[in-house]
Amino acid sequence: MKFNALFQRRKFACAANFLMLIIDLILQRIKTADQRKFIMRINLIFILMTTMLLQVSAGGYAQRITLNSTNASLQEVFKEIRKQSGYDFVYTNPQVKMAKPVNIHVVKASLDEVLQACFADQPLAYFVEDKTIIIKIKVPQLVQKQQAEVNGIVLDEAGRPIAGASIRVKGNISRGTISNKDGRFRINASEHDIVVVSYIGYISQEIKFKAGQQELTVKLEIAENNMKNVVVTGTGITRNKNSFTGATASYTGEQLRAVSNQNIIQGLRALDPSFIQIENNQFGSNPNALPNIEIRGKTSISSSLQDQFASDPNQPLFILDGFETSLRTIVDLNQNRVASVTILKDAASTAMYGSKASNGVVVIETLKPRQGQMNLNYTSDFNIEMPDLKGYNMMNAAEKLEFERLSGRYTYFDGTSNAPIYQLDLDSLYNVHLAEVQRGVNTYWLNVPVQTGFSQRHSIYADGGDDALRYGVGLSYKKTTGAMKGSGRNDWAGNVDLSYRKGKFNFSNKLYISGYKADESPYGSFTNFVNANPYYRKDSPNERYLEVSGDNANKWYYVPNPLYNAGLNSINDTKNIAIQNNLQMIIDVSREFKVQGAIQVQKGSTTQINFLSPLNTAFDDTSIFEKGSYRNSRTNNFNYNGYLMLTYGKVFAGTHSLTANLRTEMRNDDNDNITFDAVGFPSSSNGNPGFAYSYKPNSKPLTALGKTRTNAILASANYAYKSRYLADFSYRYDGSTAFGANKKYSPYLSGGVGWNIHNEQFMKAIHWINVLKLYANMGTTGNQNFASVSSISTYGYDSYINLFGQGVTLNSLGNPDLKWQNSVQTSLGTDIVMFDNRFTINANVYQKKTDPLVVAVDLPSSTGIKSFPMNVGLLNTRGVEASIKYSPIYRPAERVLWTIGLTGTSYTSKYDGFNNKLASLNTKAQNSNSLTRYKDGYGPQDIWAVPSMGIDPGTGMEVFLKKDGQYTFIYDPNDIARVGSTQPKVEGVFTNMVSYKGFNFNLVIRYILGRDVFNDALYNKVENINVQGLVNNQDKRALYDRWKQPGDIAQFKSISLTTTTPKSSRFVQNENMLSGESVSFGYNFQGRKWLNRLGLSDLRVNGYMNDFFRVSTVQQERGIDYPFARSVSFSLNASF
Amino acid sequence: MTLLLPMVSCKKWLDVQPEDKLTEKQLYSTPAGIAEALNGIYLDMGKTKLYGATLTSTLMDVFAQRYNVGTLHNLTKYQTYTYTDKSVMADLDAIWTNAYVDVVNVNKLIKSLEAYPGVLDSKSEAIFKGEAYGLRAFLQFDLLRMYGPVYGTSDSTKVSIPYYTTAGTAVNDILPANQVMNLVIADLKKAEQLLTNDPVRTTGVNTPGPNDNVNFLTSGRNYRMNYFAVKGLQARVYLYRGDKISAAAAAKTVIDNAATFPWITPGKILSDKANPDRVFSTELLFGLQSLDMYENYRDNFSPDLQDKQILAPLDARLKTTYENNENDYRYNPEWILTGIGGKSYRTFFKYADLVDKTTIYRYVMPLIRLSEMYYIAAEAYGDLGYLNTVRNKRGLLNLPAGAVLNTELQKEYQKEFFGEGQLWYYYKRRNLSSIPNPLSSTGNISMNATKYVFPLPLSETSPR
Repeated sequence: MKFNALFQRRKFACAANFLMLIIDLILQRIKTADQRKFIMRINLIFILMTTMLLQVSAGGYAQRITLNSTNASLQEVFKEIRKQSGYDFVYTNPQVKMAKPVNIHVVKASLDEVLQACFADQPLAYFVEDKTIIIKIKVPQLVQKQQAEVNGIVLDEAGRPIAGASIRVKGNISRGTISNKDGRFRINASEHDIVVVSYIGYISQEIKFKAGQQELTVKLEIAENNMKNVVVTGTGITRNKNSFTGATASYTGEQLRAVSNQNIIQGLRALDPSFIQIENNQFGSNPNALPNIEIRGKTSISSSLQDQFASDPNQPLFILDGFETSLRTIVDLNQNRVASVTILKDAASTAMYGSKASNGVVVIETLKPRQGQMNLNYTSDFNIEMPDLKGYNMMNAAEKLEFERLSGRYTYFDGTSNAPIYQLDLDSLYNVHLAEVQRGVNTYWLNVPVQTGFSQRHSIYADGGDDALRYGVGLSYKKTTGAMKGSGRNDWAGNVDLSYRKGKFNFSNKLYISGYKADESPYGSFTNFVNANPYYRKDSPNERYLEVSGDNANKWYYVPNPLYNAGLNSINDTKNIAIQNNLQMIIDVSREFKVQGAIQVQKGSTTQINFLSPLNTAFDDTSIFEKGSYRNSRTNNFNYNGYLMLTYGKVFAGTHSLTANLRTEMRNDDNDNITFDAVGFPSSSNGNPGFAYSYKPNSKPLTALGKTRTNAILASANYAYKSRYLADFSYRYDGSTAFGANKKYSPYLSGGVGWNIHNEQFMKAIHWINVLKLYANMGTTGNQNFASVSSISTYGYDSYINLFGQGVTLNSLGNPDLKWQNSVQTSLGTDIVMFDNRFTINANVYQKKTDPLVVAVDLPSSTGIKSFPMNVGLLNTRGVEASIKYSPIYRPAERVLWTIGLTGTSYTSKYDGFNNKLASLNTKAQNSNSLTRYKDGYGPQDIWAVPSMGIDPGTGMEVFLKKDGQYTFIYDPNDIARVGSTQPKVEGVFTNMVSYKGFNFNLVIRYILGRDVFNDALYNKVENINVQGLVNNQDKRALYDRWKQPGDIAQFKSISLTTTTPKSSRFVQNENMLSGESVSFGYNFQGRKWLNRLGLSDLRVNGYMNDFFRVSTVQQERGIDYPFARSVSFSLNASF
Repeated sequence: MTLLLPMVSCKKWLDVQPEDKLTEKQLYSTPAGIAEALNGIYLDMGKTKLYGATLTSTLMDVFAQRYNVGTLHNLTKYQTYTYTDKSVMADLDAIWTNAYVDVVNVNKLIKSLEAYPGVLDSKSEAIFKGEAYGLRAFLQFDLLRMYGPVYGTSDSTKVSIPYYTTAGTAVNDILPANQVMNLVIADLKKAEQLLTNDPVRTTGVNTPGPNDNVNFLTSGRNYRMNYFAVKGLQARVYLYRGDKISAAAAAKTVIDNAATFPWITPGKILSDKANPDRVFSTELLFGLQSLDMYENYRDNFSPDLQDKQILAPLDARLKTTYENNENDYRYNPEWILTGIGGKSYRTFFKYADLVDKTTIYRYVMPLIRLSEMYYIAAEAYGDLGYLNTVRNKRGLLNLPAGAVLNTELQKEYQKEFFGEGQLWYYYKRRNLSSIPNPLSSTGNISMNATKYVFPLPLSETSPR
């Protein structure tokens, strides 16, 4: 066999000769054609994985053949043909023995002509596959088939008839029909004919017609890649988008992958206006930090009511394949497995989740195995992260020294007087620094701990099967290298999906195993490097201190070397492994009734290890017995949950369409955590806790055990009259251990109405409107992300003992009458589609009123109660969100499309009903210098500070505005007022999508207009630089923009002031921002002939750039502990 | 439908008990659980933040000007009564908050005993409740003495503190001092009634040996709010109120049963060099075991501490206080010149650890002692004889006939209650306008109501 030759004819960009050799060896042993094809696939994957970039050029062989043979054996002719055409022949010896001698005389004939001539009288037949000609023994022709007329009906997933479905006989284009309004059809077919039934949005079905069959019932399944017409709620309940009255948005895996190949969060925020990722300035682009996500604003005051197993109370609920899951799982989820994501935003769509739905629901469905021959899909993602340090505006060495001089760093002052005797030391210190600066020392510390991170993911998925049994097997591995040295993640996952259908029964099972290892950077916080002075050298990583000297009051201080601790063998990593299994069963009892049930079991274990080397500077003042620390914290979780559902769907008299569901569910979550500490390590320790001197003195193992349970019953119905008037209703009765002891159950109700105006008679004349739908709904939902024992009094032991033994004291006094936090949501929306799908508008206005809030209130301390969960006040959010799309070029048949889109969201949130009950929280906020307050009529995003009138040019001091309008130099917390809001006036994205044949281009630009930010860089690095802070490097503006002498009109106070600056409106700046969230280019080679020859059915390549630019009106530091990064990625997807 | 129903109808499904915490229901279902709930309060009171140190040996005695806390000392702001200083404010807030947390625990206990009846027999329940009422009065009386006005006749109607008798979210008013006093007295009356059958009245203190079985109700009664502790507290309360007759009557009840609380013997304080009973544990009507005791000793009194950290009096002051009488059991055995850490002065050894770690009076923090009853009786009856009784038990001779009672009483309070926090309350009760200056060997510092009254903490006033 000449496979080697076959491959060598194609030119690969990267030489793979060695691999070829191995492959060749394997191939030598393979003789038959079938095996051959399989090997080709494997072979190709192998090559793709190792070389990535391949170029294929068409073979250089002439297709014209000249032959002149008389009475030649067939084998000889084959040899000649192969020589001339490059085509291989596959045959067996018995076959050629049957052959008659060949007489052939052709000049420059085509291969086809030649072959036809050769095989004209032979008892053999041939067919050509790839570049191979396969010989077979001729089979006698079948007799003419008997044709019969068949009746049938086409139904949708809920058993409702589908009108307009196409029905045809495979391989015979002329024989086709469509179903009538009752879903019925009639077609002529003969035995062994394959009837293909297809309808937009549904998976086509092929039915082998059997003799004597009179009636065909075809039930179509929803196609996940085309979710346009179906709303998947994740509960097993699906709704037809045309008749549903809730505000939802669905995105396919394709759409998400067009924006980013990192995780689905990045895709969703670009696609949906209501899905907001709040920028985390603290953790930047740390791959181990979880994003902060909100849908339609906040519903809770973040408070101390959470226990360690609860999630962020403003985070939406995530549903993966029908079951609740964590944000961590979603972020780590292999994006290539995602079939669709649906965002449920309002009451009508989320009420099915009752007590957990207030923050919206994100429903993710993974791919289901497809029918057919084994289909292999391989995806490779590459990602390059480049730290973005542009937000930093630090001084260089000369500037820093000058700044220090001006701010009095080298002038002795003990608080009351100058003393010339100590001045000498300071002068010499200044000269040492000056000498260094003049020697040219100017260290750029910022880029010391950062790197360009290269990450990659490989995933492979194979699926296939027949009508009854289908399988899907996937594996993925992702290695992420962060923008800070040493930080990264390794994720791996594997899944096995099986589905089995027999008559009325349909079973499916999804097994998913995953794990990760997350490493934090040994360099610690990025701040340490931002703070390091440029006049110190960075070439001595083994020195504990960069300098030990005296400050301007002659007190000793130590300048830590940020590189020192990073070089020690500390460990900070987290390891996780999780396994979950979903088993689902559906029984189609009759055309109208369906019973469905599922069980999920999940188990996970996470271990966090934190080891600090005994040499770490943190232990400088620690006794030898406690130098070095080790902490091991292990969390195990186990949960199971299941549901059972009854679905009824029927169309009455062709006009009334009804779908109703009754569903019950239960869930149990067990979590436990154990943590212990060990101290005292030898300096050469590798972090093995066995080398510790002892456990941490006076410590004991810490444990936390949590068990939560919920159950619920849900009734839901959707009704449509002639597809014009629509109504939805759902009622959920929810029980949870998290509710007050006296209120274990809580009802949730929602209802909606809608009007499909486009289906009205009078609209039929207006052709340019395709869809015009109005819908409105209202309902209650709850929020359950609180500690489960807030409602009961609990006691705990501590490690004290006396004559009488141990004792317990109250841990928390429960509030048995705690009412759970429910939101009443009202939403009004419209969907408009015009000009044959060229122009679409989707707009919603909504109100979300959370009343009462659950807040941990501090009572007067004499009650002995701190952070008592109470029902106080309400939070009212009103907002608008809209998206508009227009396609100037719209030729889907030719695969030519240009679509531009604009989305926007805007909302306001206001508290009410506090009546000063949260005064203590406000006092706390004031004491901790926080910018938030809880006051009626104001929102959670408001910024509170004393209004500032700027810097007095005469004195360089700040002038504040008092409540009564007077100006003062004296800062008084009583003057604190609302000075801004971090909530943007409008936020959204502009999208531009061009697809031309296989090529596509996608651009997503985010805009944020009119938000206020408190600029921490100005507050901490331009002002508020105290004597100790002078040692740290500072923002350039501290040198250039501060007041220096009387008459200066400056934005910042006198450069010589090292006193504390209180937070005032001077640091609040209005920001308008534009950022390049994503740009991507892709090419799909689908339909190319050479793909087929390679055994590929599909090949796509994509290139992305994420966060590639950012323009803002505010210059501020981004990424305090971890810098932000820009990313460039590539992905390659091949199907076989 | 029938398939679906059982999943929801099962209310028991939601009846989940936390596994890492105890619920009230779990706790109050067994006598052992209830005992742990009561003992938890004693344990909490014995921690550093309250009677383990702050309200006894450290903060209170700094306020009483016991120690040489100069301008360079860490606690100088306390010595100068700078109640606006951040750390002083934080400490006064912590005392207030933690004491009221114990009050809530007491109130919750009383309420729960009623809510879960029948777990204890009626006799035991009476003792549990009696102790709880006694503790409630004890804690809030001390809060009144700290944060309330100087309780003279004229200012007894000034606002002081809230008094809590229930656990919950209801916020009680801040009451005038005399009303708080009424509530304290009422609670003590109730406690006295409930403790009528306290075994301490028949079988005594019943201190167990190191390996003896401990009975929660009958053993070590002086480490619990027993009948005599309640009587002793009554005496203290009445005297503070100026009701000398009632004070004398209560003190007399204890003095008549003085045999239950035998005086310290020279053998235990002078001869036993390894394990001296420096706290005179046998004489205690009420004390607590504080597990933090020796850490507090290490952090506050150990001679190897730096001058800015150590709590120790000026040597000359100490001599004056004990009138240079080396025979006094309270002087020589408890104040030792070690020379460790270059200390040229005697340091405080009352709460230093013992050699034998099984000694029963290890960790003991005295709160009410028998001698105080004699002092109260002396003050109420105007009788020097009661003072002499105590003096004789301390290795001292009788006072001369012409001795001035108040002067001698003050001296006795200064000597007797070192490290026990009572001197501050004595000064405040007497509303003394000058007290000895600890920073020099002679002289006084002046006192006034602003210094005597702790301001209410912000955590109390701001949410009101």
